[in-house]
Amino acid sequence: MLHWTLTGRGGPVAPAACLTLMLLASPLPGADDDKAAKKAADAEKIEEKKEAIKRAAGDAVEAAAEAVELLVEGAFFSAPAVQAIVVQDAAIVGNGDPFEQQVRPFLKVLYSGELHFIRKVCQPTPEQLAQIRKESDALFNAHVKKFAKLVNQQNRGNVEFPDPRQEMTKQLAELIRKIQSPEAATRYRQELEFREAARRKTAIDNIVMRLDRELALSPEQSAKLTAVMTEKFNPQWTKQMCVFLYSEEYSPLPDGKLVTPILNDAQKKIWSAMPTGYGISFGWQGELNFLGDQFDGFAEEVVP
Amino acid sequence: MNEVQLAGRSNVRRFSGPHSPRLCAALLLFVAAGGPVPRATAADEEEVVIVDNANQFVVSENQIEQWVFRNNNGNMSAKQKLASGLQIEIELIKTAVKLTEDQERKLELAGRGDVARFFAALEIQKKKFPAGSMTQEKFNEMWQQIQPLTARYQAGLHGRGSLFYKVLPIVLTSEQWEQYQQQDRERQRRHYRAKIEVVLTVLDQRLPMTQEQRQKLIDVVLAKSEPPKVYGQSDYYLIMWRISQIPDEHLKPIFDEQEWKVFTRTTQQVRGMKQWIEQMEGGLEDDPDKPAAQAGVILFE
Repeated sequence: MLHWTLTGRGGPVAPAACLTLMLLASPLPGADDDKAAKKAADAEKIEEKKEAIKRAAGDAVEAAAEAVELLVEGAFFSAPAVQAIVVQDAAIVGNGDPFEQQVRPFLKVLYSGELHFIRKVCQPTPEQLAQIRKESDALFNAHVKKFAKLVNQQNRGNVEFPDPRQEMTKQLAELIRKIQSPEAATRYRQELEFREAARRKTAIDNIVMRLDRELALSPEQSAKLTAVMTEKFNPQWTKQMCVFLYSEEYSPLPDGKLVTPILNDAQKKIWSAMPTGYGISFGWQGELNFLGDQFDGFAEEVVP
Repeated sequence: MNEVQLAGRSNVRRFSGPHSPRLCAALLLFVAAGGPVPRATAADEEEVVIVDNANQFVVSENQIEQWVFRNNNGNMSAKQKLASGLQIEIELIKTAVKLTEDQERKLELAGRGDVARFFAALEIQKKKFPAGSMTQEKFNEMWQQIQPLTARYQAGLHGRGSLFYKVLPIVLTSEQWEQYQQQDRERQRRHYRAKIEVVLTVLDQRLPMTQEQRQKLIDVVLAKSEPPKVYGQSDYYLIMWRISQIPDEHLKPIFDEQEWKVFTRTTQQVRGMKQWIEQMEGGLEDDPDKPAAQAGVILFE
């Protein structure tokens, strides 16, 4: 359970945000009785989940036995949708760790999408694709374990999340080089570079937009600021892209040294009064940049 | 049924009910801990809302102002910030056209009128909801009525619907107005593009796109839709809804068959949000005193 401190780095968090967060949040520090009760309830829920998983595992064994019978009859695996369901269920019941179950669907969406992307960009043969899937399955499971551990740690304190997608794609590029060809891996890496460049441009454009709305930048000032931010790019700006879809006051700001040289006196006055930025995080889902559901649109296509 | 908690020192209140997409997105939030900086004042550090034992909300003297201005003025008062804001709006117009002293004076007068009208509306709310203890119902009512003021402050006092904006085409010559509009359109387009890019970054997680696809999609959205009238905490839905309204014939060629299924699944989720989107944007356009009456209403409905 998360406990939130309603203070930002640049001063107290905006009251409206505080209120929203209070409405959405778990009990604040100080509500000790509620905390204890909640902790007990959580422990109970975890136990219930474990029991459910055990039952599901039992069901899965029965289902597998039935599947074998059907396989003997030669019909079952001809239906891809059925195959996908069986493999997914097996993956879920394969590990009872509640944190892994929490993280797995999000990472699975990333993973399935990435395998589709590889098929599109690198065009492996069916045999190569099968090999990539097989070997990347182990990578996927390792990622699930790693991020489940981080989410677990996060519940006990602040954790610095690495970018799961970048970690995944780096290893996938290596697999493509090994299984397919260095040329295919180069094509994939080039698209990854374009993707990262697009992320950077997005962050810069949104920060410039925020400053434009606060400081009414002229077109020339906007262009200059974009250029200097591109040159002196700070990776923190792309840490959580979700922040650019929330209130502007939460978006990161560039260092004053980059901004003030291009401002006029009236703008400098407002800039100097702007808070340096609030500490906000969307949690591990934010690190994955997920909004909305966890629809895995490529699951049937690329089930490992 | 979702359940949202409001926690205080000695008891926990629960609000139940269906929640807006905005609220669902906000559920992902948490605020990271951080120490106060020297800029923070003692007044800033007081608690936002205290829930006491008798199911009452205690609201402090400066509470409404803190909500409206969102503690976002640093070492400047809200009035100082708004005065400087008016100045830079006029400076921005001057980068597009050369203003005479008389034109500048008239615009300044109109801008001050917007500021005065805003503070008058704020004073009305402060009188209506004086500091002290209040029931949950009264607190909800106050929160809902404050939201339009917060939204207006965030959107800027001199935009669409403002006196400043209405006076602008009258004060400027037709040639100046045309030049200014050209610059303003390009500015709005830059902002829209930035928001499209960030929505595509989110979409790219479940539907990875090549550079070519990404570029084509941005171009189509820019060419076939209009920028939102206002940006805020629901930008993802504002943009996705616009994308969902673009005819398939322009979008479908960008994707392969499987990708198109994923893409349309995402757009279908927002296609039915027309009324909500209009509510988000409409008020600000039509009536400066009732802008985007969305946030509080949706939060508590």
